[in-house]
Amino acid sequence: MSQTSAHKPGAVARRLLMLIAAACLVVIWAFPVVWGFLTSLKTERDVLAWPPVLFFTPTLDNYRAVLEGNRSILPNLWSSLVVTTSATVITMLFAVPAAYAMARLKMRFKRTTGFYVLATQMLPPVGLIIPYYIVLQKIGGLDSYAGITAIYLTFSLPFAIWLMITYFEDIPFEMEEAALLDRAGRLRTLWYVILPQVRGGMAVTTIFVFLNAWNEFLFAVVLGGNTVRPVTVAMYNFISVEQTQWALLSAAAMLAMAPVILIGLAAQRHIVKGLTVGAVKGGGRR
Amino acid sequence: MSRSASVRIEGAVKRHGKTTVLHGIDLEVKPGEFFAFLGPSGSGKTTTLRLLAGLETLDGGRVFLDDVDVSHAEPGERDVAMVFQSYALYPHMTVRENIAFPLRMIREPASAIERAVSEAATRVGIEHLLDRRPGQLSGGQQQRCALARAIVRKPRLSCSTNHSPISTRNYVLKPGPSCAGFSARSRSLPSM
Repeated sequence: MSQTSAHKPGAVARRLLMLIAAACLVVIWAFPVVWGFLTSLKTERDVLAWPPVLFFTPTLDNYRAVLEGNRSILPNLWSSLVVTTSATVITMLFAVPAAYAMARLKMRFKRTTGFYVLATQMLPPVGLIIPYYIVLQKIGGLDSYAGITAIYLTFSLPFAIWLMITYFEDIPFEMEEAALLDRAGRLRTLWYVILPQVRGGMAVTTIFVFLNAWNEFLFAVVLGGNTVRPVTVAMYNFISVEQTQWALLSAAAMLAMAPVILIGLAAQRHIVKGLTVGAVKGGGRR
Repeated sequence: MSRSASVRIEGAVKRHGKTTVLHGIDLEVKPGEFFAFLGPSGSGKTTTLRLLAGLETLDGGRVFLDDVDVSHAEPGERDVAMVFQSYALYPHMTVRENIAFPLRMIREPASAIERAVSEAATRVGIEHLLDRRPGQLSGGQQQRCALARAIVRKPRLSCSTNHSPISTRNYVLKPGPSCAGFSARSRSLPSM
């Protein structure tokens, strides 16, 4: 579309409108982050100053406070990392082959199982908390890494399978048949021919799963405890009945966001590559 | 080159759901023969070739290659190559890797693979494109790449469901190793 409209009158105006709209969106997204970042560099007095101070002496005291001493969130960051990484790795290990099977193999009850996978996504998570709590209590999984990870799998696995299916379905059948004739066999076909083509999809899925688990709060606060206390829960340490320590809370939030942003940046290249490698011209026919 | 197979199909029946696509096909192709199917869309040309390659299962009848019953053999066991209508080139591999793939899968030594790949590429005239990816090739170059991949391991039978079998034949039959089955659409055939 852009190619043809670039020369028409009004195209410049349209471009300008798009730019303004994009700028608005960026501002809406960036404002709380920038605000949080600035707050994390202020003293508690500057945070509460009215009108807000635009010029202030930045301080790293808040970061020091949330990283060192008895209010350190480092153990919580570790807790988050353990739960999130194990949930993500296990999810991908099972979701990729499962999605491939759902996308390719002819099997009975495929539609039914496919619906079940989606149905679990339709339930409001709040409704599941009490059953999960009771189950974990019965098997001694409350406040344990295994227990929380298992609960995270119940929503990340269906989501990942469902997302990966769409990537596998984009690969033409003939590609696999060609590999079969080349004597690759099912497993080597998957490994050499299919998986490299869904690398972008796998990167995207991994990030979504990781993000979901990292940002999870509801299950963590109810099913966790002193052993498993992810950073999302730990941030509430800075909110008490008497006061909210905004500067410390912001510093903790910035630290909690950092890994997510880093992973996003690192994986960006993969995602773009996954989109551009694509299928060969005409290869998408089925 | 003596590695070409005889093909015999006896009473092949194929159904897709309730439609019967092949109503008992009988066919015989001698070794080294070039054989083309002509017919309108949906007449079963491609299905017949897919049966030969083992990509479809028979609902009746039998398929022989070199007088051996391969009716239930896996596609990989039949030593049949195929050029697909969409070429089915592996988009993440270079042309060189695409052509080498069948040889890599049967664990040929690297030096032999290299020799065979350049030989096949030269035969179809794409030896200067070996480091490109399929997405960077024109349609005709993609077709020749698919051809090179099909002939590189010198199969006893090569099939093509591609539109323009004449160009295909030129490459396959000079100095022709194999009997070839072709499915062709009549409209894309030059006058013979």
